[in-house]
Amino acid sequence: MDAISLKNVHISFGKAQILKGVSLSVMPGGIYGLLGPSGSGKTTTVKIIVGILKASVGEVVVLEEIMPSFVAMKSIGYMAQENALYEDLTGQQNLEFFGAMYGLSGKNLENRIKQSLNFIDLSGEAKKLVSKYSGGMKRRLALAAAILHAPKVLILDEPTVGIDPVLRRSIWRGLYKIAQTGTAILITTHVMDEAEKCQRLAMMREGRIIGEGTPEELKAHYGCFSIEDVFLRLSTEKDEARR
Amino acid sequence: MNKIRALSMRIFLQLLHDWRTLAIMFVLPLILITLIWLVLKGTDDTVKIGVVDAPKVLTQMLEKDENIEIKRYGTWENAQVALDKEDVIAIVKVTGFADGTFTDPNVGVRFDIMLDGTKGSRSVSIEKLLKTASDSMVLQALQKQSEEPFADEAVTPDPNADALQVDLSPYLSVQVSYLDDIRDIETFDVWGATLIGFVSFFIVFLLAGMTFLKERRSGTLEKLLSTPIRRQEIVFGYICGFGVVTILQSIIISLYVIKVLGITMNGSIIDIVIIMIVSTVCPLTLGMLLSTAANSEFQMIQFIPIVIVPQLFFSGLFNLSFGWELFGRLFPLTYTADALNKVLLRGDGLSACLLDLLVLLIFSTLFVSLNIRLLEKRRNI
Ligand SMILES: Nc1ncnc2c1ncn2[C@@H]1O[C@H](COP(=O)(O)OP(=O)(O)O)[C@@H](O)[C@H]1O
Ligand SMILES: [Mg+2]
Repeated sequence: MDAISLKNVHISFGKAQILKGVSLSVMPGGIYGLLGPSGSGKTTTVKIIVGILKASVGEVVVLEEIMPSFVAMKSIGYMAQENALYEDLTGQQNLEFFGAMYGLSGKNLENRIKQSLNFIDLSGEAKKLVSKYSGGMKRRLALAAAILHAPKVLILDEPTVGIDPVLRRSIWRGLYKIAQTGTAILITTHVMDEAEKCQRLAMMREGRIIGEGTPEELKAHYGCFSIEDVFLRLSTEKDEARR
Repeated sequence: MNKIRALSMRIFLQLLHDWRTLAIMFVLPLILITLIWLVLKGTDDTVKIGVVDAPKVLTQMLEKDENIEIKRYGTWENAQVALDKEDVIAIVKVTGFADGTFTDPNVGVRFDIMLDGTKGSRSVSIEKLLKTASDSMVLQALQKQSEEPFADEAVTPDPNADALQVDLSPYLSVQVSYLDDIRDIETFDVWGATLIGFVSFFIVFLLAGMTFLKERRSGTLEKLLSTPIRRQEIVFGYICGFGVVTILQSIIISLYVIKVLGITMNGSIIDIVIIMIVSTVCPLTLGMLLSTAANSEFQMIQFIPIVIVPQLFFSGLFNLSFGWELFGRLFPLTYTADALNKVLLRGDGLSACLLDLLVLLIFSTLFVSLNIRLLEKRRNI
């Protein structure tokens, strides 16, 4: 059964059509990449999946629940593109708050906070105010807030922006580990080399999915050496098809 | 319930870490109220009292108070002209008294007091002052008489007795009249209630609105809406979190205006605090509601004059025609001011304000339910 399934999703803001028939399905236990240039509609897609936005047309099912659904929301972890942290609280207090929002409390909450802080290597800074954090530290704390309740579906909107290569690698390693426990991870990115690390990829452009498959399949199918080439190839094809 | 507690705890902690907001919450209202108080208290603190044929004992007694200036007039008519021109706040004429004693003990002393009614409670306190002065003047004269041998007075006042315990009526008659009816304008005492309510309303409205707007702008509202929290839990969490702080604010403001500024206060301070606390729920819920409705910070700023200015004008600061007064009933501040006035000036108990408080709570409930509905715009579950 798919952890996330979108069928022919449309959404418009006012007159502007932003998503024009997005369909994708994400299996549990893997990292699924949503690749596309800035403005292509990745964040909008992700917000529909977590239940903040409602599709004007189409069907959105997460963990067998039609979104938006409180039942599914309990098992979704969401890291937004902007950090969405309380700057006038400490890292620890931020996590305590978000943990409580997912119904965690007491010893359980304490343990989960410790694990999450370890995961993103921020244990030493937990007692500092977030306003004193660097950009990368905030990004990591936002990630910790998303994995706190051990969600079955983890949605990460450009999670590694502003994080240095060493830490980025360790975070990817961590994400693989989380995926191995059966969590479905959906990552959006506009960085091509990150896309190569995903187990499956959907390429997005102007509110449409223009290609889907494993990185290897995509490269082999279009006879390219890199995902970047595949993406450029697909983009020009679309443009020609339109003409 | 846990989520509401966690949310209100969070808001409380955020405020603790934010000294600027704390200053706005606790120091700004005191500064604003003090400034208004200084302006309305009147430019000159000295009170001028006109006297006609006043014995020296009386003027000396009055002039002991540094803020009182005595002006002498030859005739009652001249004094009345001065009162009419507002040169003096009150005029006094004393008959039947000379050289520290009664001209005729069988007739006694007559005080004619005329006051300018437009000075509101200030006139009232001058009236009280003059009455006290007349009492003690007569009392002194009686004492002096009793010390003289062969005093033909049947009543010998006990020098140790409180002035009020002695019946002075055979020796003293006081006639008080007001030039105008007592109109309660121009004094802080009367505007005070409205202004205290207003300052507190304004600040709580702004803070609640801005904090909720910040929650939206920083993306944390979306993050919050991605968790399984219900919309009403968000609203109530905010009310509880801010509530703790506004309760503190209400107590501080009440104590400050009553104990430090010494505003006329005839009721119970606890009643005032309760009225203030109930009153702050309105701006709290309205601030949140409007920042949910606003599309941007700029729009929120635009809401401020729309919400704030009419409240100030239509909630009892000015004498309004009946139609406008009805219009004023649309604003929560009208009820706050009304309740505060009842307790502060009239010395009524809380039971006299129940209707006002009920209306305030109805307003709040309306704002809360609208807010919960409007949040549907952000997440339709
Ligand atoms: N709330 C909104 N109102 C109007 N337009 C929006 C809104 N949110 C996003 N958009 C538009 O939708 C398009 C896709 O945005 P987004 O999903 O954020 O793209 P991405 O995440 O791929 O960079 C952009 O053109 C953006 O301007
Ligand atoms: Mg985006």
